[in-house]
Amino acid sequence: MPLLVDLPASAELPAAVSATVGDVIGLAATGVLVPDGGVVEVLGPFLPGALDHDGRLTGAQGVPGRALLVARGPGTAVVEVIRSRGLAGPSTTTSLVVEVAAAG
Amino acid sequence: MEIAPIRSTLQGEPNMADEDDLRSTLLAVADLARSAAEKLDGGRGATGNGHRPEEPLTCTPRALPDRLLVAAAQTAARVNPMNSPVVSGSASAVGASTDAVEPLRIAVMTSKYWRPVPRTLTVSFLEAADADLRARILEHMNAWATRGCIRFAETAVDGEVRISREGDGFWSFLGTDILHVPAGRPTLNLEGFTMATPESEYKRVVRHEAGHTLGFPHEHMRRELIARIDREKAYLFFARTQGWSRAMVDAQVLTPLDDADLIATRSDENSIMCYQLPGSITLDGRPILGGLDIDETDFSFVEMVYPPTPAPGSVAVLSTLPTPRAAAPADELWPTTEDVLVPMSS
Ligand SMILES: [Zn+2]
Repeated sequence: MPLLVDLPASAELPAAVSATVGDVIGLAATGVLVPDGGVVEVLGPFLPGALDHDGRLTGAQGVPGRALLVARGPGTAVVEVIRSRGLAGPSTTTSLVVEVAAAG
Repeated sequence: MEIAPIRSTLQGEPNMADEDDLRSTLLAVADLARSAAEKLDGGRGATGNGHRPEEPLTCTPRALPDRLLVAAAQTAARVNPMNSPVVSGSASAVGASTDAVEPLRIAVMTSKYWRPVPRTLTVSFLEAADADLRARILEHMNAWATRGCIRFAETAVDGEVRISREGDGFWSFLGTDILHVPAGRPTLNLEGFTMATPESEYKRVVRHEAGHTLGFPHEHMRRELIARIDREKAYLFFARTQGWSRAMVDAQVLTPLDDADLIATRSDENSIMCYQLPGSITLDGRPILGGLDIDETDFSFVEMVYPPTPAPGSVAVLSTLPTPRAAAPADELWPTTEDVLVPMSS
């Protein structure tokens, strides 16, 4: 069964995570750089949204701060998780090793 | 956000020699306003007035009640015959010279503004916070209330504005959109704010996010500021510093706001609602400075959108009437009695 793991913004990223194909990891990120290779796919980054009375999605205003990593295939990928406090301000880049095992 | 000095142009009455000009201007503006509104309703407006259907009238009242169109045109013409409240950036389409349109260029919108009447928005905190922290955040949000008629007041639970300090980043839903956010979920996020956060960050971030809650969009998304950006440099810069794809850069930085979603006129890179952007991605090498605090044009703007006190004997002014779109909650579409009135003299 695939897992959805949401890491809160306040949580410090580990150096490495182990996942299985199909798992999804949510993490605080302005953006994530993912290498080619089919091990990991990144979705987002996202801003929060809500549904209005007419069924339309409406979004918050701000810099997107959450991304989803989807474990797509077995292998190891090193992704760069970027966070910033503004478009011109300092940003931090943290390397995260994602080890993905085949679904079993 | 920079607005034209409406109040200064309110002084004095037009002399008799101007009456004919005023009358013809008034008629033209009223006709134009109606045409623009009809055009938005189904493209029927651009007939018989010399403007071509394919030429968009970029700054138009999307949902202005009929009752206000003529009064608005009357007032716009009285305030300054040069003003044309619904024709921004499209002078050729209305048979006017560019110079005649430029001085005010007021665009009318709006989508997410609150009613322009005195109101208190309740604010609650989703996580435990000490009283001094809660008071400090409220104080900065209420910096807007020193010049506008909407203020924020704390409530213990279930505020209309719900603040989290544990979510990702800094953001707020826009104006009346906060009413669509499910109960118990944040409408405004101030990640990691504590009493140790510098005062400068309270000014830069809390006041900015409170501005969104009041309905104010991002100033750096204005067409004039985006035109200063070197697109290819921007793609490279944001890929490196934010991890963004080109599509994300397009969406976050390079797509201008719809002119129909704007009230103010020329851009203000010192607005608190403007992000800072580095000179390394602008065509002229100069940075877009961004706002560190609410500036005078921001204050003028909030006064215009949320006037503190309507004066007796006033008349409605189109340019100061934020008009929620149909998508706004029904209770934000106000009745005639709540039209904003602005004094015609002094
Ligand atoms: Zn913002």
